[in-house]
Amino acid sequence: MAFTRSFMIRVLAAALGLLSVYAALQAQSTDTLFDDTGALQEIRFMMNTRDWQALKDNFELDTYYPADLSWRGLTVRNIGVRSRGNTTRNPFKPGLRVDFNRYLSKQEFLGLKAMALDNMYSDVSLVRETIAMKLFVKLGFVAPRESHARVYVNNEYIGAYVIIESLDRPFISRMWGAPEANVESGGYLYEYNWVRPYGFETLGNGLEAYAELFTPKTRETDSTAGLYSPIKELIRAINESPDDRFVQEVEKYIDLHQFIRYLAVENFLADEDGLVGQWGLHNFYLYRFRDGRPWQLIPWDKDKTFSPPNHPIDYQINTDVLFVRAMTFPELRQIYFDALLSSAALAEEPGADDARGWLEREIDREIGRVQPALVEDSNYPFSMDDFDVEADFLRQFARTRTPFVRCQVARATRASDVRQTCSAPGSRPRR
Amino acid sequence: MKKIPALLFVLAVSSSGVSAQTPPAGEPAQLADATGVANQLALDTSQALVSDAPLKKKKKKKEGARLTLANHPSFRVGTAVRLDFEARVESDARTPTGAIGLDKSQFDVNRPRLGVTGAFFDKRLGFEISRDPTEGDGEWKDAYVNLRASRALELEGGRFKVPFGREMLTGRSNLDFVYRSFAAGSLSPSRDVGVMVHGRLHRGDLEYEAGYFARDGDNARTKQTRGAGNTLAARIVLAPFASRSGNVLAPLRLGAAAAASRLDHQLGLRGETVLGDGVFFDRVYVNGRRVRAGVEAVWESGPASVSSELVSVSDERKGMGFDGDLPGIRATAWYLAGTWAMTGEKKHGRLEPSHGLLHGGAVELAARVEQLRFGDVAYPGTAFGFPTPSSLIGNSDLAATVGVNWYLSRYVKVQPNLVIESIRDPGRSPAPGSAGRFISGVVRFQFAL
Repeated sequence: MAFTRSFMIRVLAAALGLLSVYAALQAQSTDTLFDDTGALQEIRFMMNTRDWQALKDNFELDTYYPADLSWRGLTVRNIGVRSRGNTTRNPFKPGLRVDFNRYLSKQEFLGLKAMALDNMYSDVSLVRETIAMKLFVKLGFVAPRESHARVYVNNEYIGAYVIIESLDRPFISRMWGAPEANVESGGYLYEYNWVRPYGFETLGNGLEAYAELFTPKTRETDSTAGLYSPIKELIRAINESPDDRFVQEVEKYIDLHQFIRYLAVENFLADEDGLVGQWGLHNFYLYRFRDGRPWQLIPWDKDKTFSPPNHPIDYQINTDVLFVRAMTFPELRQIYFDALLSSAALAEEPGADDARGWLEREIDREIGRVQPALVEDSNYPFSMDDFDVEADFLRQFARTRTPFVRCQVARATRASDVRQTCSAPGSRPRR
Repeated sequence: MKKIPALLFVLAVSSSGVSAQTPPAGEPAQLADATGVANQLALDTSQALVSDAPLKKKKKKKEGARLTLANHPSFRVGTAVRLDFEARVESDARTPTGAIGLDKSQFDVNRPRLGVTGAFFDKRLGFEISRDPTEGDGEWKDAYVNLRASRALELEGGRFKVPFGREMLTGRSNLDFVYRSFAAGSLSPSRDVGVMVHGRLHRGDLEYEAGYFARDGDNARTKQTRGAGNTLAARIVLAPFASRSGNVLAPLRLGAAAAASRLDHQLGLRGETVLGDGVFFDRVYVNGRRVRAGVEAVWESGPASVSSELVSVSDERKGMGFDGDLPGIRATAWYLAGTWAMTGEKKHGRLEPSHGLLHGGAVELAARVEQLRFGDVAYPGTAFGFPTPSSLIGNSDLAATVGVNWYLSRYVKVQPNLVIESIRDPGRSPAPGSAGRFISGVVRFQFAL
């Protein structure tokens, strides 16, 4: 009898143990992966050391290598990992693209088919991108989820990264529902491919010019007419529609209000490399709904935000046909200014027990989270002094950008004395 | 998983008692499979050929209503009414495959199937309905009626298998391997809604089937892809040496089939590995006409059989490029398979064990070599980086399967299979670390009533 009782207790304990492990695994989700309130996420890869060396040696190539990924007790076997990035590719701390279904077609990780591990090689602070995306989301835009992570390869710490949700069909499904993500008849997702400064000027009748700029990320092998004729028609409408029909014609294709609000958020964030950045259109995805809804923009690669706080609110707008024409309409101009003020209001929103605005608090919080991971990151291409200077610059941005933007909006809308000078720090941090 | 005890129970019951039953004279030894009444009749005929003893003792059929439990539950009223009730339950156990990252065994209970086959008025009118009872809103597997003017002319309508491909037209219970060949599972159409004329001429030495179907079969579509539409399909099978009794080629049956469908800016076919772990050739959009062509041969004599098929599919891409049409997409699959019943039973689909389970049942060895190959794809987007050119290069999977079919009774079959695969481009295989080569092991437990 004693044996039976002891046996039963052991069985019960084992069952409870298994149940708790099962419950813990069930609790893991993408919300947990992109949760940035606790300790940094920890992503561990196990892969052939020769493959890892080959990936670093050939960091300019998109060659995939097999690996296993572990996170919080979950292990995904046989995934594909490759080098990623544009100007940030390097052999020391390569940006990584992780494809969970590269080799096993039905494999997913927490419902994700892929994700990026961005090395943020050009951002000293490592927080520009994550904070910018948060602001977009808080203002009602669709944007990828992100969180910081310590990344290990074969138990060696290779540095602090940002996990970025891949813009793909699972993302589309999450934002707009499964029919939009249908593999055959879903919507069209394009990544804008920068090849030269461009601002929605006419590209002519041949579709090749459009294919050069808009890389499809869904329906990749669809007919070229299916992929590009609507984009050609949009650009024709932007350039050729008469003033009295401009809004009507352009809104047949895009959500013009969303485009203008999107531009306002980028400019509030002093983005030097966005829709109207230094190099023309850049760093966005375009989504064409399958059901005919107006197309939307999705932000991407926001590591060039938070340039000097005196970044003008009309910076480079005159280089883009769409926005030049849109801004001639008072109601659209007003939408632009309203979105700038909404961004400012959100940025200076005080906390429950902290009078500082949301933006400053968020900068402080994220700086505090990533700093320890960078101290240990031997592949971090900057010094920790640089990091401290950058952190101070970002705090200063948070404090000075909002009044600067409000001032410029007031001047532009003639709500205040047009002779008023709007001022804010105009230099980058010195390192 | 709740079905496992039930399956074990079924195994135990069937191997202990039911297996001792033998079919009454003149009754088909097999269930009609999804190929329709035409195939059921084929089995009737062939059963008569291979089971000469019961024929000699053929009894006069009873005229009254009766319920029999011989092969499967069956209700009959003379020759006017006959209803056969069918069921199939099966599960697969898969061994670990380290090369693809599968560290643990997997155990799956496959979808069960229940069905009723009926024939009325001396088989002038027949029907079959079957579906997965666990799938609440799923499609019917088979749901058709068959009108028979004569053996040479029958008309079938409803949902049933498109007449294309010998193995695809073979019922799942009668397969020699756990998984269908590439030629059948990847390139042949399977079931769809349509109408078909079919019949047998020259004492069954010549069979024909021809029909129209709304789409191009379950195999060509997924939950997210539509497959082609408006399919015309025809198949002819003949036994050119059947009249030469005693000739080694007498059992040889040769066939050919063709099907044409319409594609409307949709995704084409893809290449999946045998167990579906990886996609070695991904779908591309196609538009225009889809043409399937296939040839087949089967030779069954005594305990041995040899079969082979060659199937090709080509999809057009009309008006899909910058300057008009793009080159079509072409896929080809072939297999060569052989079986040998070690325990001496005559081969015709599923073996009828001569011995009960206590004497080992019936044991058959089976081997197959096959390949599925997709040609190169030209797409103008590659000049701009999409898709990556390497993803559009042709690719192929060469697979060999060896297995044992152990029939514990007429109802219960255990099928261990070993599948060896080699994919030409390892980067698009589930086993990039082992040069695209990997071995999978699977055992199927099947109960078919």
